Amino acid sequence: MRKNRYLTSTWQEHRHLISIFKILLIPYFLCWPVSVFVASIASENRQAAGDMTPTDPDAVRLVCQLFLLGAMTLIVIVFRIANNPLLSKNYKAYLINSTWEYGDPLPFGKCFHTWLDYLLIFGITQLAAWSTLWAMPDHPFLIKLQWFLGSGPWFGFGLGIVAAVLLLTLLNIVIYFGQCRHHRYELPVITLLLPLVIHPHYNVYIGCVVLMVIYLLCLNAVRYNLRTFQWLEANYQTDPFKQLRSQAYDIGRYTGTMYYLAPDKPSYSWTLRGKMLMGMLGCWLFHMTVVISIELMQRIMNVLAREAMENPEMSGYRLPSIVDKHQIIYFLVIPVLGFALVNIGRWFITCPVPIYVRYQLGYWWIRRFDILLLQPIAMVGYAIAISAMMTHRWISPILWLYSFVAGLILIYHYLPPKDEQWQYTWKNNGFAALPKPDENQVRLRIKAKKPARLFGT
Amino acid sequence: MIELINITHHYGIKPTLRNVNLTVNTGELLCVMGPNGMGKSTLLSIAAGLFSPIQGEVKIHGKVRRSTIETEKAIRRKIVYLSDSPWLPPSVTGREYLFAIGRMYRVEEDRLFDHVDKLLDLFDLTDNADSDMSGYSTGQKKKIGICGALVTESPVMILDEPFSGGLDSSALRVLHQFLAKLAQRQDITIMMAVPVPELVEDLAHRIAIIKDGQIAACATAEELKNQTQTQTLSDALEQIIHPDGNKHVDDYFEVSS
Repeated sequence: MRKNRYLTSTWQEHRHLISIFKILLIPYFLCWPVSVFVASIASENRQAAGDMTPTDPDAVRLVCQLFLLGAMTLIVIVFRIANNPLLSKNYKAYLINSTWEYGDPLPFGKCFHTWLDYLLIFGITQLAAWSTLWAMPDHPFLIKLQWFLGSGPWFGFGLGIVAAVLLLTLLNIVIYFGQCRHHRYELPVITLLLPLVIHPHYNVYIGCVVLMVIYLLCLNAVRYNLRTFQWLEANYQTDPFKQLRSQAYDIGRYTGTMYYLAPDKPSYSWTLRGKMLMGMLGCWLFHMTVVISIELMQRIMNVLAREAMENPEMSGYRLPSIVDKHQIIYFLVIPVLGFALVNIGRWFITCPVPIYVRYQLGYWWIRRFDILLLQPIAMVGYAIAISAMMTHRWISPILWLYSFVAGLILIYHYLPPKDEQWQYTWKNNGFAALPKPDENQVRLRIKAKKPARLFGT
Repeated sequence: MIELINITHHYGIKPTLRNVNLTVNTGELLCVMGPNGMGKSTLLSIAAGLFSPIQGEVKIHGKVRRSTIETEKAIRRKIVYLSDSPWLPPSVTGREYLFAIGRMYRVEEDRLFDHVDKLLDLFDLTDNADSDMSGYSTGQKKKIGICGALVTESPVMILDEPFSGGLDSSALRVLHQFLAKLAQRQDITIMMAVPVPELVEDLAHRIAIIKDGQIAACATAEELKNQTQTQTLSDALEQIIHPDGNKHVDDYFEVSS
């Protein structure tokens, strides 16, 4: 009796699910200005049909409902995932030093969704779907929107699952990269499967099946990570030198001091094959996102165009133009330029011989310092060259995408400075790094020779 | 029984503990005292198994910590460590927290319910027991941390500064009496760090004083007073740790005047 009162009561276990509804007030107020904006766009479309005013309360209400229900769904989904101990440094440390073992219930709540969570997600998304139908049931624009989204209930169910899968995939990626366990098969398979939820069939039933497969893969991967994480062995260091090295490495990562006592290569240093794999998977996702978004826009435009032709009420409707694939893909060049600029800035800050001194002394190239510039300049040059080839239609946008990323990875991997060079010979932490020990000694000696100036005297 | 054998530990280059040998017998309450930054918490953390020392080993009831996984699992079920600032999950209520810890230590559930209720009542937390711990005050967080250690019913307890951290006078008195009761039991071994000697003079079976990373003295309160020819434990402690401490104060006021 008492047991049910506290521990195994379903109500108690889902207490947080009830209390999160308080949090919903925040997205509700946040969504208000957005909803007014969206409603004004929607009303423009409806004005073309001849039955709308710019401040249509129906449209505002509809958008508010959708935002609110979407936020509720996301909070329910995130609520469980947030309980995963591998995502919390403190929780992880707590479990590492506790009596907990894999197989025991997690002390502060489940990290997988329960049947009640799915029921709640299903209920919320159903509400979202049916409220869409109820808000403006007979408006031609909305009927077409419903056609595009699929039937109402399936849209609701699909929305919940898509959000759950995406978040679980994100969780997986975080855990894989955090723990350097990216040799498992799930991540590449999930990344390859993800676009197939929509493309190329655009069928909600097939999409749900693919989502379920992805979802199961995610669950399997998260379970694997929980099971194989070295809960007992993580701090298990009997070799004093090993521990000293790891301490030195940890300290060095944040402060730069003692970094040179850590001879081990950083564990996050990837091989060329690993970098290539991740790069190509990223390209695949980007490629598919562009393809799907353009295809979806085309489908909507086709429907609206057909409607405009058949329905005299929509004759004044203006069709927006679809963005060119080439223009979208150019956005990839921006992060490359950013990366190059950061490296050039790093060179500018850390190089001890400033430009005006070089000008006076005629030192235009000091290999030891200026080698830093090689990589960013090569990256920018390559980006410009290959983009020019695409602009002249010598290569297709898709070929440009994959060869662009592959080329950058090769430049990053082969051109100096490499990770080890940064670690052993150069200023290892970029802006905040301490100088090498011998340089430090030199600086200290120079400083010692200067007359002391205290309190401005 | 807790045995610390030849413990040496460094934080970077600085040696924090140097060849420390210390034994806490079963049924004994041992207090570790000493100046700030001399390695009290490090010693307790090593005894608790939070990390292994660079040299030396820790034995709990004759089993070497971190020797094998099975041994470590067996030790962990018998030992509880209370950090000076324990991590408390913010979105969990105090009652849930205590239940979770009790279940991790496999305390029989019927007994756990009674124990949790009693502890919450004892430390005046009943009214807040079903609120999220994010809303607790500093003192309440300390109290729930202490309850978390006590609810485990572990025979070996390592407590890092249990009296500090904003406890009110009532909680200090309750904790003092609670520890005094535990100290009378023959099956409970307690090792704790306390910076204030008045709190433990009538509580500790023995007091170990750490100075410069080494055990400067380890004896009963009476023996320490006799050794240093002082009347109070506070004076004895001062005599061992800062034999010329009063001189410094005198020097300061002479210079100022």
